[in-house]
Amino acid sequence: MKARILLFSTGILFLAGFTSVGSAQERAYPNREIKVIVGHGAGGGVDLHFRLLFKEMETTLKVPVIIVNQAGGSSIVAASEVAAAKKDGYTLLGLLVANLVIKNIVDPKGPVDLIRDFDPVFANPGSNTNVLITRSDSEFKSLKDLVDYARKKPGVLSIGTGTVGSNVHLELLMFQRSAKINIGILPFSATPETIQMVLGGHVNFGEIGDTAVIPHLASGKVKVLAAVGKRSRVAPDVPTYAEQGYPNVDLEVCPTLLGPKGIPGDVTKVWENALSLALKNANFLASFKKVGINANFITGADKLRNLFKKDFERYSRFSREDLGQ
Amino acid sequence: MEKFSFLLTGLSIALQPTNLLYCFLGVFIGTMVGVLPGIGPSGTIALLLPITFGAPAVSAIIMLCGIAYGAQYGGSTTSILVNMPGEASSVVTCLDGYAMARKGRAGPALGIAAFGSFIAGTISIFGLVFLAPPLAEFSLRFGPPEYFALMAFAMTVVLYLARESMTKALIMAIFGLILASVGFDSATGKLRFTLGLLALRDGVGLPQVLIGLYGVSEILLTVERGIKRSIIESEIKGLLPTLQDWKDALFPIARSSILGFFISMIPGISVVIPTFISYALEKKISKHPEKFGTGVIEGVAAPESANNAASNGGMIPLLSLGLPTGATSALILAALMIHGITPGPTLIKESPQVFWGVLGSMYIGNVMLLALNLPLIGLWVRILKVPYTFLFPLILLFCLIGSYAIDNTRTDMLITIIFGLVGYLIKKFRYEGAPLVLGLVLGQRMEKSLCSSLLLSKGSYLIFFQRPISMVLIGMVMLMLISPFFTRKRFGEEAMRSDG
Repeated sequence: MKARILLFSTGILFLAGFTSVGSAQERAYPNREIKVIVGHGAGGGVDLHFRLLFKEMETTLKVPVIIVNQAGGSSIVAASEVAAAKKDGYTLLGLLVANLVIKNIVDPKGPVDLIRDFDPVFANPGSNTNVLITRSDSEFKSLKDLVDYARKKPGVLSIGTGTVGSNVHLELLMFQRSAKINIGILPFSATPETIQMVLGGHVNFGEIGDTAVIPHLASGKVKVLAAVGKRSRVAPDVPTYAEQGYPNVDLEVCPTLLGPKGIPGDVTKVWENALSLALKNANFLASFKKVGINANFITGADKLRNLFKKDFERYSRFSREDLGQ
Repeated sequence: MEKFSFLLTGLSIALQPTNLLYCFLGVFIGTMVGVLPGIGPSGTIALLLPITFGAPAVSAIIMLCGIAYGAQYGGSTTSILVNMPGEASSVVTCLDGYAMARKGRAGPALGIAAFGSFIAGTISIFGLVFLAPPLAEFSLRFGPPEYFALMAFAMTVVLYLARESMTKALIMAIFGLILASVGFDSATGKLRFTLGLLALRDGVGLPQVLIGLYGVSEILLTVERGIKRSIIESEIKGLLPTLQDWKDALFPIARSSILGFFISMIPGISVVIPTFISYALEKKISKHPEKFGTGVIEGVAAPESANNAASNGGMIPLLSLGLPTGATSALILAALMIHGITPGPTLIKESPQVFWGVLGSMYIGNVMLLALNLPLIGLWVRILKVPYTFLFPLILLFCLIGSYAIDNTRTDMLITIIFGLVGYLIKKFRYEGAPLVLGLVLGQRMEKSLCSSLLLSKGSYLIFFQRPISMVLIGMVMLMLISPFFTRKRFGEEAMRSDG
């Protein structure tokens, strides 16, 4: 008898459980935790960008946003997983959109396709500015000095930068070709390593993200010679590559949030709303500023598609070898 | 003397109740993270980073640093107990630590690891206080040729690690180097040896390999030997190191602390490399090198002191130059910047509270770790009494979870299982895992440094002999490689032993 009562009450509990889940699902998005798969390692610049942002957005979304890092295969592992996920807005993808663009250019029939498989939510083009640095005691003051020297003595200068196929590396290739000079480009795996080589005088220049330069500008050990795209927040007086005559050097770091193709429109709306509220919070913007991240957010499917199209054009100028495939 | 008063200020900052709490949280989490394979300090710090935004800057940094050095304490526990390194920096500890545990001396092994870590922590903190700025400048003199020479040096030293035979160690080291070459070729960006698999594009991950090579393979071996026989035969003798243990371990601890501290100042050198070099050094100068690997206490004391000293020494380039030495210190750099503190030469002047407070907390954290770890020894040792029928499935489970946690992919678990089989074969045929691990750790960086050096010199190998640091290191490498032909001592001995 007791057992039956137990069974019965368990049954009731179960039913109650189910109905409560049912009503929760009827509640508007989001009603449970959202998983964002970030296609970059924990603790890196892109990860930090999303962590800071989501922590702020959680106050509006009222549900936890869980970041799962899957850096494998230059973000492609993460992208494949999200492309195949439920289109309910509870699984999203955060990554540098260039990783998908490059993958699509070198491998058009690859497993994932930026346009075919994803709906864009928002993007932050130019979240960081890449800059060309040199030691502050160096004789070089501008790109012109560098180019003149390289033409006079080809093959003497060296520049340290990121891995083959990374934005900074591609920027140098583009610069070198536009200026018709030949400089030794040394790919290092991490930004601090590049800075170390510049500080130690092992290479003449370094092309790196401007965030990492802040401590060394503060100590007066390095100076900035040029910025890519927009002027860098850390060295606003230094003209860009374009301003110094090299408009082709124009790649952008662009952290982007994507959902699987076919996510409902109100999901996008909820995120857009949370984003716009976050951008009104001075404390949040200050936290972005402290780590040197710019907030140039773009929303709206059309604007974002245009942005991606521009990126396709920019990266299509490079060969497969340049892109590191 | 001035620095002493600064250090006292730092200690008083660290002793404030809030900071004490954060420090305790940090070292406690660090210990846990160190014990669990796959979950490393850098992943943990990344997860906790946003939580620290609300905390005062000093407290936040104190906690994150606590995780970093706390993990070095915890990493040795599983190495000693079940031959499974919690972190790559405790691979070497397995050699003698596990052997000690099998002799029933897990307690003294754990004890000396904790005491060694404490002493190393103390020595390296004083090193940080007094030597940080001048040494930091020195570390800048390491360019690509110096890095290559240092890696080549470490690689050669590995030969002295060989327990069985030099040839077998070489085979394993080269196997490690080949594994390290899987994925993107750093110079051209081309993919190599990926078998067309997406998962191999970024190379074979170290933690996945470690967990398989040590954890999974040990279980396979035990299953084969039969569960009953594999239970540690001898009774557990004593929980703390004896006087004789102390006599044996004191100098190795001191030497390894200093060694670990100095090597780790060079940015990019992880805490792994000093552990290998310190073990090799102790073996080399020991009166009974043949006993290394059979459970001598020096073999535990040396690497465990080295990794703690290195973890602290790694703070030098970070705090005084703003250059992180690895993934963990890169995250601490990010944390500093989020709190509006710019690491680098100006840090000591502009934020003395942070600089000295963090250093002070490191000392207090070390005391806490000792207090935390010594009572735990009794508990850990009791784990060995758990019937292996229960213990081993659990270890296997932890291995697989740990492996999955690295990048949240199932492929990593597959790699772990494959390397479990590899590890099983390695042990079966009396090869060694340690040189393989070092090869895998060093491979990429070594190749990159070589390529960068040659790019700088326009293809001339002379660059390695034109710069003093690399010249000395390469010279030592050559001496080590040539010496067996003249003395024949070591070479002959090893060959005879492996033949017999």
